[in-house]
Amino acid sequence: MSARDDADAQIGDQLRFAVTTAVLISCAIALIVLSQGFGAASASFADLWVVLTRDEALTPAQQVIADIRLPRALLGAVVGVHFAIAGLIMQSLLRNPLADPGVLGVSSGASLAVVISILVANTLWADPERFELVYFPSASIPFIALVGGLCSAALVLWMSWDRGLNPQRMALAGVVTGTIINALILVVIVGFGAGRAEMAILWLAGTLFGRGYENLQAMLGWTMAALFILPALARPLSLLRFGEDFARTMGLPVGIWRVVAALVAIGLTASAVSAAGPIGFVGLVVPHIARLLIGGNMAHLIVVSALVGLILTVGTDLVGRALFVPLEIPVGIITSLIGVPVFLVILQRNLWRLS
Amino acid sequence: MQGIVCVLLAALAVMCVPGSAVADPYPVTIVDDRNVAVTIEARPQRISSLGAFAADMAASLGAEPMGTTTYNGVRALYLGDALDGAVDLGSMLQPNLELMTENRTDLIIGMRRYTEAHADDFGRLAPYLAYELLTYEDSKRAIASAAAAMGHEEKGARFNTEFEELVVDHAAKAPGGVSAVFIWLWQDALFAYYDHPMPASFLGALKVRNVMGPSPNPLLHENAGRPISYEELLALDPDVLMIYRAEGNSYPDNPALRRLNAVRNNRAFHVGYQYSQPHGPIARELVFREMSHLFYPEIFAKPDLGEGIAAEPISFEQ
Amino acid sequence: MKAFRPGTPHWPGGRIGGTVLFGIGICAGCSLFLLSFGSMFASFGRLPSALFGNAETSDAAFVVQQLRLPRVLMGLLVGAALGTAGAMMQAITRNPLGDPSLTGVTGGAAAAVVFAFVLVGAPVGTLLIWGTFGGMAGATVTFALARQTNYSPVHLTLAGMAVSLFCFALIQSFMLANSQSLNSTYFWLIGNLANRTWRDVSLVWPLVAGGLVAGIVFANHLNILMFDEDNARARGLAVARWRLFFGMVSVILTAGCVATCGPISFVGLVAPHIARQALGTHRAAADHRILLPVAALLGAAIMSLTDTIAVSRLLGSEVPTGLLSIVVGGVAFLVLFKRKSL
Repeated sequence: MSARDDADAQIGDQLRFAVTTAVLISCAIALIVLSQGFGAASASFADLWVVLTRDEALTPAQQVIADIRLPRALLGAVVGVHFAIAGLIMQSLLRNPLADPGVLGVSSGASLAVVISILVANTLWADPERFELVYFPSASIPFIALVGGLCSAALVLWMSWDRGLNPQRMALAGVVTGTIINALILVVIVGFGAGRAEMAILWLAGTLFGRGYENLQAMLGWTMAALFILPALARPLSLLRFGEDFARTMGLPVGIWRVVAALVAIGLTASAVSAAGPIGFVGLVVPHIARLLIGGNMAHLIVVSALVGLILTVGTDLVGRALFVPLEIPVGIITSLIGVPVFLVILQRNLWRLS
Repeated sequence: MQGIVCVLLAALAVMCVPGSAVADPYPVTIVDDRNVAVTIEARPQRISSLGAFAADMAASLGAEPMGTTTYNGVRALYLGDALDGAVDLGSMLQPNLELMTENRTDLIIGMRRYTEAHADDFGRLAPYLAYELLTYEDSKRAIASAAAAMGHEEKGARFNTEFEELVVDHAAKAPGGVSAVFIWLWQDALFAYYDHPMPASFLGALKVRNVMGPSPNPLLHENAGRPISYEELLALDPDVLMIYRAEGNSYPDNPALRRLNAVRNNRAFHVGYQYSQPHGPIARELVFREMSHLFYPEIFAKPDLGEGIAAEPISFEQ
Repeated sequence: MKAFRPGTPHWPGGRIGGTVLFGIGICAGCSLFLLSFGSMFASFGRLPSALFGNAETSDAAFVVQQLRLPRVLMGLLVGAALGTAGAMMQAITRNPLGDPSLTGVTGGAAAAVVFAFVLVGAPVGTLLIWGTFGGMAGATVTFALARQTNYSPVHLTLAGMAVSLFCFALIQSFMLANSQSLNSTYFWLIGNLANRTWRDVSLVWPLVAGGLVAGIVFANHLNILMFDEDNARARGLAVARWRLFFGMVSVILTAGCVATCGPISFVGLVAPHIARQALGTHRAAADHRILLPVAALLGAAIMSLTDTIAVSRLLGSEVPTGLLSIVVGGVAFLVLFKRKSL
């Protein structure tokens, strides 16, 4: 390929990226706006306009938008971005198209920690005389989830360490650890759930019900930190995708960047899990869709993955709460049910070529 | 809905007329089971009932709740027409916040362990009261407190004293010498209840021996029972079996069931919805009267309950 | 993996004899304990009279003959079924991680069974059929996915996990659709040997017997399948057909277990590995005429041992059997995984 073709291709890529991003951003905005108009209560787009522009006493319909739909859509958007970017980082890091916070056991570890903090803490320390339940303050939940995610990640790392890190072995260790941790979650729920088992089960499905600005606040710090680090991560990640040796010959301190990238991914996952539960398959599917859309440029992939993750999560949550009014389907169930078949198609088309 | 409930409702409605003439007690401050002081500014008109308790409470005060949650889309059958105009708020675990907002709910009452996690969301909409609702003590406390919140403090107290009189009356007439157990069928597994949760707690008052006895760990209030094996049930062999079951599931087919005295004597009963949420004034009385009859049919008359509400004998013949 | 070297049949008397005796010893000891102890009576002394007494008149006899015996037999049968299914799956996929719970079979069967009893209200007797179809569906998708990479361990396991996760999402949505069943379904998902009856035994024993006999009779083909494909083809074996045959056998075995006792994980994975460890590097470890029965026996030993611990109240109160096998099997698997370079 001549230098000129190369340059042409690059310009083509840039153009494609710009167009895709523009389309996705408009889709995302349109979807968030659209999601304000649907649901159990009847509220119109005019109500949304009032909520956004005027500072006055709100009608119930406007209240529905201001207090329920808008914070929920925004939280869904941020959670989707977290899972998508975490998935992208893990897939690049492990050079495995099947990597995902859920598949790697990080979501399970974070979930186990949260379930323990909800159910076991209450059993151990509650004072029955005073009818008081012991809860960890909600701001501490992301950290508890993070500790859980880190522990399971450490376990996966230890298990897969075999004179160096083999991506495939790591993916396998993650899958197995995830299965065992899921079994432990079952044990904790059945052993300590008592009257709260149903709630834990709902939470484990991954749901945005009753979530709002406080969850958004608890997450935003993590989002900001990730946004700060991500630009610096683009180059190391794109090099690591071609293998350790290649990255090393390009002068990359491989060890450090691997740890940083893994920490960012785990932090993003744990904070999202603590806010909405383990929403499955977003991290797995989204990077593949992004790759289909704009190819392999890592910086581009980060942006497009974030947007696709946002659209997927907000869209499925909208479906989940508007389809069977007054009942709600947890968003995590829909993302899994949609995500797996999509993922299987992508798998058939890409996996064997990529690996 | 016929019989006892109609009579009850009519009686209550009559009582309510002079009640509403009484001076408005608002604002009222209630301390609920979370130990949170909740102030209600005016008489609630649009109550959201998360679970059956508040709907039962409202119905017994002659009012109608704005909305109630349902179980698999079914509302509390035993409340009959009283809920006809109420909005379906969906599942108790995820009550529909949008419908509660749209219908301007002004009081939200729920079972604590299922709803407390979303206290902030409810609190934004209206005063939110959470009640423990497991034991008879919980029921009395919740009825007194919820009646005060709905502006009928004296009636709440009266419901409790009248029901207590009924309990004492039946206790005096009950001859004893019967054993029983409450069981949830988990597919083919059996989950049996200890003494403290209602309505198993009525067994003691009726001089019926609960073969499960008290909880071995009374500090764990929420551990209402435990799974038991068919062998254990056979060893305990209660005279009467009271059975809850998830709608639509098939009955288990274990040979031990047909060997139980309760089943052989046609004293195994599938109980109605009101037994799983028995803490409201109406449910409490229905359950207690029916239990009295099931344990001592020759002493206590059979309450007149409709189909799907009254307990039905199960033979476990496939 | 060293143990995966095929070899000609050879009978290392001592090692096999020791392993078999050890397995039978555990099975017998645990069965004796499980038959003798319970809430109706708890002593070895009363066992003989209860075992041969009249179940119509004596409660003790009824309990032993109608409740404890089927439970003991189910433990042995389920362990044997899972051990056999795991060994077969490991052979046809040439994959040391081949296991019903890691290849989508358990997940598929569980989803179908939950659907049947939560939403359809299907009678208990028909659950086996639901489970078989669900397990076949799960396995088909998993194997179709892994086919292009010739069932490499990593891809097969990852595809199997994707299928399992999907099945779990399905189970969750079924549970939400009938929220009254939440607790019972969650309890069922752990897997339990309690409350089994003779009907369950009569459903599962023909499967186990048939599966074991088929496995032993056609063990040569399993041995050849563990060579690479070309080699097997050179030996005149219809590779695809035999893979399908053994795959079906292990799916049906697993479905029988899931339909009766719930999804019990890891036993099918661990039993064959322990069998190979016990048989050592000897050629018998790769000969399925010996490996299959030994894996079945050790699977039975694992299940009855975990059931004994579950019933014994060593852990405070009786716990579901599946809970212990998850923990025991899971830890065994972690150790196995850490030690082997896959």
